Amino acid sequence: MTRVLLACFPHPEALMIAVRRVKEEGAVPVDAFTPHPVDGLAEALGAARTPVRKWMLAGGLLGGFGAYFTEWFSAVIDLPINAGGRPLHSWEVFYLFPFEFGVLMAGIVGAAALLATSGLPRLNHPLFDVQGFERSSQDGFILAVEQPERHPERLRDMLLASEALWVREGKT
Amino acid sequence: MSRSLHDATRNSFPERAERLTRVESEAAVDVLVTAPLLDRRSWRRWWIGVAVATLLTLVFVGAIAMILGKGIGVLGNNTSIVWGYPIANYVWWIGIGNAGTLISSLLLLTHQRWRAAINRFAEAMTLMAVAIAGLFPILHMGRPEYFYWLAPYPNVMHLWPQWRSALVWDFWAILSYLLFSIVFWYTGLIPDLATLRDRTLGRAGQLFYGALSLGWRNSARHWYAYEKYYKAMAALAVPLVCSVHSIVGLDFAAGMMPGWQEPIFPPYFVVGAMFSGFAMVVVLAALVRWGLKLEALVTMNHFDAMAKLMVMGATIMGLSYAAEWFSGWYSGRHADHSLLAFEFVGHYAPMYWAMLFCNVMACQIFWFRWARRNMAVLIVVAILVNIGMWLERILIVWNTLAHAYLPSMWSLFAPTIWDWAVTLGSLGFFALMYLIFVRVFPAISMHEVKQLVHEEVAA
Repeated sequence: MTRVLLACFPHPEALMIAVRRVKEEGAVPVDAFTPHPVDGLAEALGAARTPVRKWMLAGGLLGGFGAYFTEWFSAVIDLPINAGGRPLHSWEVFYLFPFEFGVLMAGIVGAAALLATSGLPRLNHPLFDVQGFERSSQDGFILAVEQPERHPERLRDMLLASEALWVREGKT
Repeated sequence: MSRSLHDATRNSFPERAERLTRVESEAAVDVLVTAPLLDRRSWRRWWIGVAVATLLTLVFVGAIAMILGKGIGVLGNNTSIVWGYPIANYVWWIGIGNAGTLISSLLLLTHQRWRAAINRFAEAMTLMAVAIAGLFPILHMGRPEYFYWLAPYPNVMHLWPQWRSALVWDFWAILSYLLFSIVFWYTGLIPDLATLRDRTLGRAGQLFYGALSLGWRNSARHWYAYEKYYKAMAALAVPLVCSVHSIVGLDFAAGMMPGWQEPIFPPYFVVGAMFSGFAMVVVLAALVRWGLKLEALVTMNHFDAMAKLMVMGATIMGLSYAAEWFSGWYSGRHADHSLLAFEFVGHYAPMYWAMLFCNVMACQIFWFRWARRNMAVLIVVAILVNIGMWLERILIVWNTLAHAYLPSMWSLFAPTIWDWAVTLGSLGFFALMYLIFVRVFPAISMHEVKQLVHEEVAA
């Protein structure tokens, strides 16, 4: 649990300026909460990393090759049937099922990875106790800054001076 | 809340060509989209719709019970025309389904920002249409209780599916597409469910939307991962949706019949699917916008863009038909020439000409700007396209099977009451699911429209 100061801004541009000023002051912006994705925000917070696409690739390849192996094993090894002299290993049509299944697995694994790496589902969170936090899903652009041990009021004044509508304390 | 709705609509301004939406602020988007779900509004028209849809759904259930109980002999299928309404309906419904995914993925990847206002309800259309499409091949089977034999599973008979069979390809195409669409749709919905959680005042609504939103809290880290994931999903969805309808096309093209055995079928089916799906989206967009009072978000600029896509689709359909006729003629085979003559002057010729009018000619009116911006013209043409595409599906089945290689096998199809019941009933079932969707979930992707509005206001 980090004690943070939450500052709500009326639009994303004000939020981005505040992130820059907070960093210039030497404070640490922890996270931000916005109604829609804001370009460059995750980069500014140093949080622009996610393994989601790697998981999707792994899930897709595993699903696809697994499906192809199932076809090959069943049609060539376990149950070879001579259907009108067609080759047992009919790769020309065997790629159809692995393609569909691979895409499906990439999607399912990607969704699971998105939730797992975001720590969701987590129905409650200390931030939800902060009055006004619900604006972050509507029209408020909220910045969370680690509360400095010395002179927290200076940070608070600085945030209010950068167009913040309100500044409140919370835990993240 | 109704006062804020009033403010939001008062803030909206007259439509301008350079702007897609007619709202000034992000908050107004929330108000407009969530008001129908959260306010105590009159839902009288909705209940009337539900009543009609439920009646038709009962017809659908009754027809399915009849088909499963008595067998497919109750349908009009005969020994020559072994495929009938169920296969035509299957192809038609899955075609409708394709457009939702194309709108949400292809238009996302090509940066067509106007999609944001229509992708959510188009995706919902996809889910429901594909779910209904998946029922028809099962209904069409002689022994529907064994449909799961298409899946590879350990069994005491030591059998495996026949991977070279188009039926097995279909099974996986529909199943993968349906599950993938559900995942895509739901993850796109999570941030909006969080908005509803935060806006709703009643305890039951808070619990319902709170649980469904999985505790989403709009963190910048989550958004970053979410965007990476969503774009990757869109990039996967485009080839998936093309492959699904290509496989449906292969069901026909892999059959050694005159008029079916054509390499153009997979792409021709994909274009047809996109075309009919867009027509359905136009109808649904008009209804959603009217029913939920979303004129400020779904504007005539959106209809204009969709009409342009439809005129493109109609023109490609015309070219596809021409290519089909040409390859029939160029093959030099008697059976193909005979089939072509049967299409144009045979028993089903009136339907064939009607199909050509609906699919190729009707949309040409959209070359004119006034027609693209006239709601009555849009709806009439969209319905004509849907009828035309259904005619195309049934005629692909009927013409070829009624006029195949062996003249002694030539025969016609007489639909029974159960054919019509299962077809019209499926429309009712679709309408019922759709009405429930607009009553429970936000019909428009709020976080995407908010981003669009923000950019438009800033510009």
